[in-house]
Amino acid sequence: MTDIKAEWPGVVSEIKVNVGDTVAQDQEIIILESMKMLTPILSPTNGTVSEIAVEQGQYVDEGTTLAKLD
Amino acid sequence: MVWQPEIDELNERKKLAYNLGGEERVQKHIDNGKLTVRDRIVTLADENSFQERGVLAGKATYEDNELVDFRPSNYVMGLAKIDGRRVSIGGDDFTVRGGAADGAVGDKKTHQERMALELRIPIVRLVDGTGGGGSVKTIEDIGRTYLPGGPGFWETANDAMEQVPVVAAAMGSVAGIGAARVAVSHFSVIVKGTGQVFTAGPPVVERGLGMWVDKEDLGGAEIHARGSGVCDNEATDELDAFKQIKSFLSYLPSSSWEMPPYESTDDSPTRRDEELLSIIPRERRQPHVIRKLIKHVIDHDSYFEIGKFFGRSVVTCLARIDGFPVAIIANDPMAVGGSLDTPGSEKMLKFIDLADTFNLPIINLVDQPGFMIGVEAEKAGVIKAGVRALQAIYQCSVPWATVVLRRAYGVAGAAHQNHSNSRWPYRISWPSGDWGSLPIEGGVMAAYRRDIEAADDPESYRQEIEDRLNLLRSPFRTAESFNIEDIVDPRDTRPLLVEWIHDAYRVLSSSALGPKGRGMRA
Repeated sequence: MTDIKAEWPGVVSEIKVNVGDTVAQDQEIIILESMKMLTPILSPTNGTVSEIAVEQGQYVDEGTTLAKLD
Repeated sequence: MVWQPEIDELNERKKLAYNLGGEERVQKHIDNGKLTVRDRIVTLADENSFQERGVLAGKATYEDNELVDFRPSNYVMGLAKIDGRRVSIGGDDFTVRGGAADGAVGDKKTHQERMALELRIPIVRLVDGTGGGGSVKTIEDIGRTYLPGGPGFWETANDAMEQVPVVAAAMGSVAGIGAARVAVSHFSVIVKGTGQVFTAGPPVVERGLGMWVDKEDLGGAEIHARGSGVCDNEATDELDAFKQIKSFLSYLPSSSWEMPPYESTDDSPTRRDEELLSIIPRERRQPHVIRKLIKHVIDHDSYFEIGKFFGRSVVTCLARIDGFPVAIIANDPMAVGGSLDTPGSEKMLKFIDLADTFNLPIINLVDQPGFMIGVEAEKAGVIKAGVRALQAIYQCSVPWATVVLRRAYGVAGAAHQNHSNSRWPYRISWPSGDWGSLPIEGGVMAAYRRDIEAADDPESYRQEIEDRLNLLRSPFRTAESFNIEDIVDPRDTRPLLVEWIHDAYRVLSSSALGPKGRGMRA
């Protein structure tokens, strides 16, 4: 179980995966718009997406859980 | 053969020293995935280059004037060569009293540092031990407690930071003065899994704070190479740590009185990589891959990154251009949008000081949206850390080249070079250059709020103003007023920087070198 967290504050611009998807390490999970830049949040590990914890357009603080992997 | 008996005794005593903490402890150490201190030194150093100093130091036990037992000093040090260049190298022997500093006998550690200062050669510290108070057993040995401090390590540490390269590896659980010896360095590396750094270890934390924490969770690579920035880099194992130490030293001169070492390259000085023309996306909000961009500009296989996982919005790396070492700073739009935050500022400050101390010209690849904004950034003291980085820019005196890749906004954007009239940094911009005190998107609302709010359709009126201003955004208009000296074809970046680096080295090599007087804090 791995939590993928926002490493900096921003607005969720795009969710690139669905629950149940198999993802590889360094794959883009969420695109966070921060400082007017579309910054990709990458998967820290291989796994399966078990939860998407945010919605498109939502503001998130640094440290907010964005998604969970099994 | 007059002195043969003494030579025999000398060899016998060396043998005792080579036994380290005894077979059992050495085996346990190896079983924990660690090399012994002697193996570490000979593995890192060039073959047969290690000349030990103080092999005879230890605690001897005599019976009827006959040596019956010998516990060697737990600090092994001397002179050696790394890639043919002299270094002062030393390491803790964890198998003797856990490497505790008071088991070193005499002041071998300070001796090692003094030797480096006198000979003007790098210091390599292979740290695997705790502090002087690492063991309270000392109290029983000497029959009293003692006031910590006094002359010793710090006397030489500060001089070393401004005179010779200092590299440190955390190769075991490193606490107290051991942790300090890792931190007060120009480059530190922590071995993943076996290296931990902390002011005090788990038992002391439990007693002082009432919490139990595993040593890896307290001060492992995850904490210090990816969080705190106490260690610059992490190594997958001890051999990787040695490889990184060698790489780091290969860019640096032996001391601040010397020039960084040239290394011949087969890479073409006039290479113009096509990829550079398309590497910055036209859409302003799209990031680019800065590490790829850097590699198109520098010599093949000359990239050595420092602090990759800390202060990630700033990339700091050593590299070579046409064989000459350079220090490169670049903003990474993939992290925090490339903005300058507190960790990024701290990393930039130390890196500029490092370059300035060791006569490395600096190249700044700028895509800077400004200081990080928001509550967390303010709490982290972004402006204080930021101005410290700015001070480093204005203090440093090595040749400086700026390549504006894209954004340069606000106070942080202004800090892309020293703008004093007494300096002449070489500056060029790519056609993607985009700059200002405040970005147009956010700045319009701040400047025209009253007009916009009074408009019949505020949103379209705001857009109208934005569109009008965007027409003025072309960098060519800035160049018309000589506010940017030149806009260049991105593919020409390498050839232009090759010309510049030759100038930079000619200037440096005809300058008075040596410590800069500002000192250097870790």
